[in-house]
Amino acid sequence: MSSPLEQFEIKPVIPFHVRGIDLSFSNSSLAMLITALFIIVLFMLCLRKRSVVPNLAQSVPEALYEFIYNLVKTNVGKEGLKYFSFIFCLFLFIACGNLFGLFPYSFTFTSHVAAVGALSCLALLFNISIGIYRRKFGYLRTFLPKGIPYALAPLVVPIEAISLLSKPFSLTVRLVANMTVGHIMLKILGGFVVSLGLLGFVPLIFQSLIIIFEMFIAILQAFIYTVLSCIYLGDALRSH
Amino acid sequence: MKKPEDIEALNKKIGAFKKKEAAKRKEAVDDARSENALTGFQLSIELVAGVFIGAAMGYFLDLMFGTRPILLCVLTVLGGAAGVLNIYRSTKEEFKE
Repeated sequence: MSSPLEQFEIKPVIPFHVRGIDLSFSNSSLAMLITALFIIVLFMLCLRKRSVVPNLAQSVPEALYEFIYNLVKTNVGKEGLKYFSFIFCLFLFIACGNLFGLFPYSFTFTSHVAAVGALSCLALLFNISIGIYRRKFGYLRTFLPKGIPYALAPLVVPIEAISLLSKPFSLTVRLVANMTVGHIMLKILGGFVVSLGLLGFVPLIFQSLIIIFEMFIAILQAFIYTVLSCIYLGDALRSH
Repeated sequence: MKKPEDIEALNKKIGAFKKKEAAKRKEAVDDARSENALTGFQLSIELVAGVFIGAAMGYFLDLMFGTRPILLCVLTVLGGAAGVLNIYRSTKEEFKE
């Protein structure tokens, strides 16, 4: 019986080394590429015939668009709608990546700290640069909120700095932990189905329930990730 | 004037309704509990993240400045404070309601 952690192994699909640095095109990269292509093709196919009164195919992207639009509007505010495309991409990429990972023989790139951590750090850099671009030196107020006496600055500034830097970390851990746990659970139950023989239908029933639950978790975690990104973007645009 | 059978039937009806209502209420409590557990789990990550990032920052700044244990100790504690601050900020909205 193979290990339940085997599914998270990264294998090079197209080996590629530059001066001893491994830059191979791995199964993780392949999963990301397929996810991105899937989103693009889905949107292209659904929005081929655009009309004022949407048909069924057109209403799917429109519903998603409106959902995220309202999310950005309530969590970031009117000024945040400029950065709507970024949040929309984030949501689609993570949600489709999570769902795509549930298929047999596919790979869940959102279960890797390296992939999600890079995405979260990118989002943090994006937030910081927008904060500096929009508020110039006023952005430094993030580290010393209004109403705090300057005598407390040596204490408050490091705390705020750690608070800012810990945000991508908690975002990453939340998503990765949820994805990893779900997939390990599915794999272990799958092992029971095989090894119990005829009695295997009992874990099979559980597994079919859990996989539905996992689909829900996949969307929910993408949603939580998006909401928190929105809140952090809102924090960058105005001080606490 | 109502007959006793009518009253009995009515009593049965009332009992059935009460049972239904009680089951519904219990379900609602269970739902709220699982939701609270989920929120608790999410917030615990926030706390751990603060301490972890504080400790990591302290360790690497120590390596940079050569002040081996001092910054690690100070920033780990401040990281805990940052974690609590993060939790406070993310639950502030809920307390307002």
